[in-house]
Amino acid sequence: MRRICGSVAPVLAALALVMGSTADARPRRGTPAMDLPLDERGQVSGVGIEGQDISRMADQMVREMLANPAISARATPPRIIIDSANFRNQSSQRIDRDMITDELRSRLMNASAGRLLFVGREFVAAVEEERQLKREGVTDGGTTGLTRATAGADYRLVGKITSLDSRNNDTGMQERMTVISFELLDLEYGTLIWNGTYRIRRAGSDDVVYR
Amino acid sequence: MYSKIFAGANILALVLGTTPAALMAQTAAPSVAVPTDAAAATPLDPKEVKAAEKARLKAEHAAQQAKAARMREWKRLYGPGPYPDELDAFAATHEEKLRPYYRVLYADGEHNSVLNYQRLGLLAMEDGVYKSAEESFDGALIRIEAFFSKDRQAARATQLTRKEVNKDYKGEPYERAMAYYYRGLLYLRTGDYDNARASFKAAEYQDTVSEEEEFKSDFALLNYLSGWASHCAGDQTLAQDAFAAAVATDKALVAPAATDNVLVIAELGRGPAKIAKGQYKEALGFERVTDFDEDGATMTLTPRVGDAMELKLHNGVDLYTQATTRGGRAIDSILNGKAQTKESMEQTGNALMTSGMMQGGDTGTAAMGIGLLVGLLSTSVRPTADIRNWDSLPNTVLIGTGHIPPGEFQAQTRYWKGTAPMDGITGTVPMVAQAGRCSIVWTRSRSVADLKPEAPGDDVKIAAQRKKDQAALAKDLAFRTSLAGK
Repeated sequence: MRRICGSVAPVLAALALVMGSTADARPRRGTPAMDLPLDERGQVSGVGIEGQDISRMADQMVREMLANPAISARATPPRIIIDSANFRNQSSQRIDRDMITDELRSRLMNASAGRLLFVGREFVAAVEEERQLKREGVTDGGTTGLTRATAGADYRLVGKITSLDSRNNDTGMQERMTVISFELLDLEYGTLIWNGTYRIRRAGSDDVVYR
Repeated sequence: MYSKIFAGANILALVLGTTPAALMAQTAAPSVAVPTDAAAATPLDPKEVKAAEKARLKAEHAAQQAKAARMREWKRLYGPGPYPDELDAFAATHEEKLRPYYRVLYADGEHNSVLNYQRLGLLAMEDGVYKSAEESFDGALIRIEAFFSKDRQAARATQLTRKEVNKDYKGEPYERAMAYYYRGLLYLRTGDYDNARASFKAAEYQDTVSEEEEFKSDFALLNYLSGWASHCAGDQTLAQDAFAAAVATDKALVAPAATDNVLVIAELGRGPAKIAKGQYKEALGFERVTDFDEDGATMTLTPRVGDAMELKLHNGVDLYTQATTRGGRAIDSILNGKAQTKESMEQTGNALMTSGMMQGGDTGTAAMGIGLLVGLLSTSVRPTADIRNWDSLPNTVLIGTGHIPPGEFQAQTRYWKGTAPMDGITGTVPMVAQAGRCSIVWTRSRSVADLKPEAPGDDVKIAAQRKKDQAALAKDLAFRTSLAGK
């Protein structure tokens, strides 16, 4: 009997190891909603542009732009249009371009403290409508007075997102280089007076069962 | 006065087979139209009031008991849920035509979410519920793009005793590519050419996983569509590069003329079906679905002003070819390993049984016992390949471009088998849209609506086991919470 047990035990032990059953120690409930730092990597990620990238990119662009005296040290604050109309996505990632340009405009407005003026060209229809009501006498003139025309802009922020994807099929590693580039276009003369580039190079691999 | 009403209720209750109190409760407000002063003047009979209250409590108690019994039954049938009332409440927030699919999406949880989103998205697109279609494909793509690097369910799929179907579905590369393709078409519909191009580029990237160099990036349709998005966006250099790549891969494709402003897509038949092959069903294989005859299509576009135009559509992609030219998957070696272990265990068990029988005595009995045990344990080794399948995909995608005057137009598709028209097939109502510089027409010869809301290939036992897995339950709960929050 001892001999039988002696021969059975190692077989059973080996089989138990092979079967690889595991106890479940994960939490019973889902993860409650949590606030995450804006400039840190989130809980879910791939190789594309993520929330923290937009935050960091906007920060870098604001610093670089304000450090340029031709833009931020003029006696008369230059008027700039920042919207997504001329900001193109040529990358392989679907993205809401407004999210990037809105973030950039917002940070620039706060940081420039009046050294730059921003023209809301994407809202020009709303402006024209109100101007017409004032001039037709439907409304009064407001408190800031009437102007002959709406503001013309000196510069427009233009730019694009491009990307380069690669993959190693032996390791399953995927890599993407994303470049977000901005330029400030002189709307009278057509020259580019400033350029800023933000690069993201990110790699990762999926679980082996998905490769 | 009140007692008369109550007596009347007694009689009516007998007729209707309910209790007088319940009937009173139902009809109290409208039927007791007694002047306030009269009611105040006639005191209520305390006994009748007490009886009515007692009956009300009894009915309430019975309702509670019925609810508790229903919950017990649901718990027995559906475990921790979700339960039918929850599914009904969620489905009711969506378009009626899509509700069966939304119920499946909610019930299946995270496990099949990518597949359910893909199938739902395509149905919604066909039915013209574009917001749901966009949300569905976004839901699928966000999961396809995320890395499941420390995922418990993915790890389980590689365990010896667990089937591959334990993993959360992401689909094979051609299925992932097609999710991007449909999202790209939806972007074209709204004139968002940048994101359409991004979708087609990402779709094409999915095709780079092919083992064989010749089949890497051979999904010419995606290059073509990427070129079309650039063409419509006015990015002519990018457009020319993409069209050149498409034509280099598929010589039958022709780059559109510079003035072309309408893209026409017709999808034919049913896409490939997945099968599990091999001694232990450990190998993933594909079968061409052949229950359709159409192999060509022409599209007639009739503008409000001007002449009608007939476009002959070219073959853009054969999905069976895309599915079968990918080569081996990384998990195939794991499944092969499982199959070999299973075979070894079976052979060892049989050998021990045979040797034990021949040997006889205590040692022989022990050998037979061990052989039996090993044989039994071999049944718990599960090398079966995952065959969950996006069954609503087409077999072929046909494509064409042309120039049409600005303004509304009508689109009519004619399907062909060789040179013979198949006028019995009308296909789906086409998606016709004009936004930005270009228009798009998209249609299918076979409707998605003929398919079941449940995706094929799922394993009912695995789905039931998931309900006992706390980690999986937590994921599903989070998924349903996110669905309900939309």
